[in-house]
Amino acid sequence: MTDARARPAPGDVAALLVILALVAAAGQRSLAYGLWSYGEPGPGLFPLLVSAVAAFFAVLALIATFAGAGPAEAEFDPESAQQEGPMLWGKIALYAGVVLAWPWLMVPLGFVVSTAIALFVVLRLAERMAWAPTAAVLVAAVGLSWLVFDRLLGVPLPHGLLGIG
Amino acid sequence: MDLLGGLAQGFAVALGPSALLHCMIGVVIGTAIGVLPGLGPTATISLLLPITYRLDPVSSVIMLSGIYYGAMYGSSITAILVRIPGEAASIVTCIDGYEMARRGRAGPALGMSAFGSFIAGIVATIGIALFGPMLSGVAIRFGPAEYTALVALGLILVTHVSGGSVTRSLVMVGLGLLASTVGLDPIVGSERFTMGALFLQDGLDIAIMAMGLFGVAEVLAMAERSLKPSELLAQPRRTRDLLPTRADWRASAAPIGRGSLLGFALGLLPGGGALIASFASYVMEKRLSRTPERFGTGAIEGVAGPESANNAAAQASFVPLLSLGIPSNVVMGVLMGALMIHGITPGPMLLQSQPALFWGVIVSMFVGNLMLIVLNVPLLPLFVALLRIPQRILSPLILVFCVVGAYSLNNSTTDIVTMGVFGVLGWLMRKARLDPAPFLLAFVLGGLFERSFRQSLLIGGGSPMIFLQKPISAALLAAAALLLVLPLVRWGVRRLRPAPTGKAS
Amino acid sequence: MTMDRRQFVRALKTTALAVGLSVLAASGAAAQGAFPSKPIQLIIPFAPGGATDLTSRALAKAAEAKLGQPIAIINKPAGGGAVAMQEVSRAQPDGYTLINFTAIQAAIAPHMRDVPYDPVKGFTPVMLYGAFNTYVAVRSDSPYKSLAELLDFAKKNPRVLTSGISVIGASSHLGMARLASDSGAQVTFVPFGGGAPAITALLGRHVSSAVTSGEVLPHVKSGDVRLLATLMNKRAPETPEVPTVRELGFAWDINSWLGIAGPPGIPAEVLSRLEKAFLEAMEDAAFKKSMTDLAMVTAASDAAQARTQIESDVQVFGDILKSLKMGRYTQN
Repeated sequence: MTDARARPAPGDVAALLVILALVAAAGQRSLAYGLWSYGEPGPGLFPLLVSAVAAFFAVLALIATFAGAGPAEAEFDPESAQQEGPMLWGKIALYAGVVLAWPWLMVPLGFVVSTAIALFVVLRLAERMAWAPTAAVLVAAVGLSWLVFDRLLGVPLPHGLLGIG
Repeated sequence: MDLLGGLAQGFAVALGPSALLHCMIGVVIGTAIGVLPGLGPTATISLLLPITYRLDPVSSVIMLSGIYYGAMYGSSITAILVRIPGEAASIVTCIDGYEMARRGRAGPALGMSAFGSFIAGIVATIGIALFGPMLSGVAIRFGPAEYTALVALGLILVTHVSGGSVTRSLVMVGLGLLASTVGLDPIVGSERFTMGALFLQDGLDIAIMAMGLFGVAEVLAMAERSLKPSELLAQPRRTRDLLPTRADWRASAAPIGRGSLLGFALGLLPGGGALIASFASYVMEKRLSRTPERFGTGAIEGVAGPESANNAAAQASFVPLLSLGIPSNVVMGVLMGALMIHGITPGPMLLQSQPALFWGVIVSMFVGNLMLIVLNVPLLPLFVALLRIPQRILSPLILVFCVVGAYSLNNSTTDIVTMGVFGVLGWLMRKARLDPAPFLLAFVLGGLFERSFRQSLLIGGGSPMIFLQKPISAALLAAAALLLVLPLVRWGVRRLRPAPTGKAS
Repeated sequence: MTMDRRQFVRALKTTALAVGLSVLAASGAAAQGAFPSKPIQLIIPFAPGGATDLTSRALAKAAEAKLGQPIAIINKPAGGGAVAMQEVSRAQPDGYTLINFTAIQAAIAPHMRDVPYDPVKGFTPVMLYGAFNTYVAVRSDSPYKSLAELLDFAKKNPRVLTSGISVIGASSHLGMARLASDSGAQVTFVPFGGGAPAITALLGRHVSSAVTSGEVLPHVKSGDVRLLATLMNKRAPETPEVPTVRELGFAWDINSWLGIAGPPGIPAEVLSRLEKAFLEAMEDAAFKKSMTDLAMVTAASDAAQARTQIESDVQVFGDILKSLKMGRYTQN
């Protein structure tokens, strides 16, 4: 391979190491679940075997990475071709934060309010949209999803402690 | 038994005004709901089931199967347009379908998916009419040992789906199998890896993980840098330009034919048949192609084959349900419930006692697929227009629908948490160049694999000889071994003999 | 504004009708006390489409008419139903949140694993409406003509007889395990995750017997399967020729019941209103039909009987599991 990169990508190595740690922990738990009993495989056997498989190939991949035979970037990141400029860490953190916080807001606030807050953060803060389109998209998205799911499909969307929605 | 007579009776039933109407309603609302990101056939049919409780049995089953087909097509639409698979079988459609959409060819991808499904529907209907109830025996020949072997074969095929390095694919396969063991042990019922969390007792949900790993991760990836204005997707506007071209048809004809036959055969088996059919078709086309490197970069064969296989399998899966009372998947389970509420128990007596129902349903699938084309081809410009929504509006909308979709599966906010976590994980995987597709496929097969493997050992008294004593399982295992060994042999040969010309890949 | 005569008369009629109806509704509500004044939620701890879902939907439909309020049905199958059970046991005891209460979650699950609810103190049982019928089945061409022959084979050939069941700890499994342990036999249980796949494996000769519910009946009618016994306390109307295990000399039966319950502390008048409505709903033809269609046993128990049944069954199933050293009693 002539186009092999000399240095392994740090993210690559970190990911493979995390996977190794994960499967090591899983393998250890599997031992506790019991591997064999009464002449039959126990609950721990299958997880132990697949952890071993994952670990084996993770080590191989790690070796390949250090040997400079890591895969090309574009293959797994189809978007990168369409994008340019530096990483927008703030924007991606906002997006990720919204996705992770949303359900926790939904329980006390209900679907309508929590979705409105989430959309507000994404549209106004992450995408920096002007007030008017923000409001329009927000009302349309919340209204439409509420109508379709709550009214049409009878999904009992959470109403929250305030009982809105 | 007069099979052609049965088919004629089926047409009489399925072309009646009431059946046509219910088929149409089913297909329309099935597509409309299935096209929402995250809502695949299983979710759609569970949501819409209560509507059909009031109908007569034939209409209700015809409408439910219409919903099933509509939702299947709807989930192909989301797979192609926004890379969110609505069901496990459309994970494969995401690979090349989405790449086609990114290259301004969303129209042909959507069109070929509909035409391929329709042709597969014809093949499957003819197959059922010719061999019909004879085929029901196939399902019972498959016991735990045979399933173990089939899934082992499927797992080896999974590693060929991904375009990247096989080693990395295998890491993801291992992790997918590991993820499938979360929850209650399938044999003794003890908890594994639940960390005391109740919701993990049922294990992780494929739909929730798919929405996270594909849908949410895609949104995050879109947000990470600014879009190049010049490379915004340019999709043609006229319907004529959105239909598959003559070259597309030439490329897709054989994959559709092979996919239909493969899907029909595997769809007769309950369990993972339909899923294995979809990616087996993909791997087969990639292997048979003279230009395998095009796969993963928007090859239309990679959409046509799996979509046909998927649809033929879905149709074939009605055979074990109607003739043996075996629901092959969750959707069939729901349909079985719908029949039972009308006092009709699917089983060996159904064909004798309710021939109109059996043949009417079979023929109505064919009618339903025709309706899908008639309805959806004029709608192609509309679906493609969705891609013209600016990314900064589309991304938040996808998030909203993923969140509501995840919630509606079990009416639980915990599922949204899980989806969010897998969304972030999916983005990280992408950064680490690890492919989520083999992970998800292995996850689905893992449950079936462990269960049938351990069932086999129970039946065989703890001895693995059971896999070799049964002819079907022995044959399948031999095929799996061959698939595993062949690339190694080829690699070895290539090593020994330096490639004469060109560069070694 | 112009309105022609006909329109005016029609509007008047509609108004009169509306006023009349609302007066009627109000008087009705007053006569029956305040409850229920808003829709009731019935949570089903199973996925849609199963036998429990279908029958309890039919029952709720009939009860709506008796209560004069709609009953909203919500399926929450998460955590084997434990999530739904926990939610209802902590809900407001106002009678507006109810759950489809079954022996599986109430009497068996607490012995299999830790559950976040107390099956006895955590609920107010409203009524029971029926039970699953469970059968021991073999293929028609199998050499075992009776339960005794089957168990005799399993006694002489320990662990050779395979028996397909849905899951470990299901009433089908407990019943067969008890039959085996009472007759000194050893059976290898093969869980298939549901009744239908277990029957499929039986038909395909992958297992030599299966213990399942009503889903086996079509195969009995077609002549492929023979039933050796039912685990219920009396013979089922669909299969009058199949003996019960009690008739065959065992001193017990397995009752896997289904019913309706609410959170603990429902006021007495609300409870009796619900109890009466649901018991009357059992007379509904559509409900009865759904029960027979799904080969379930219809049997009414009022709130007091339901409570006794649950209290005793928590004990009974616990004893069975302890004697079989299963579930939470595996280690000791």
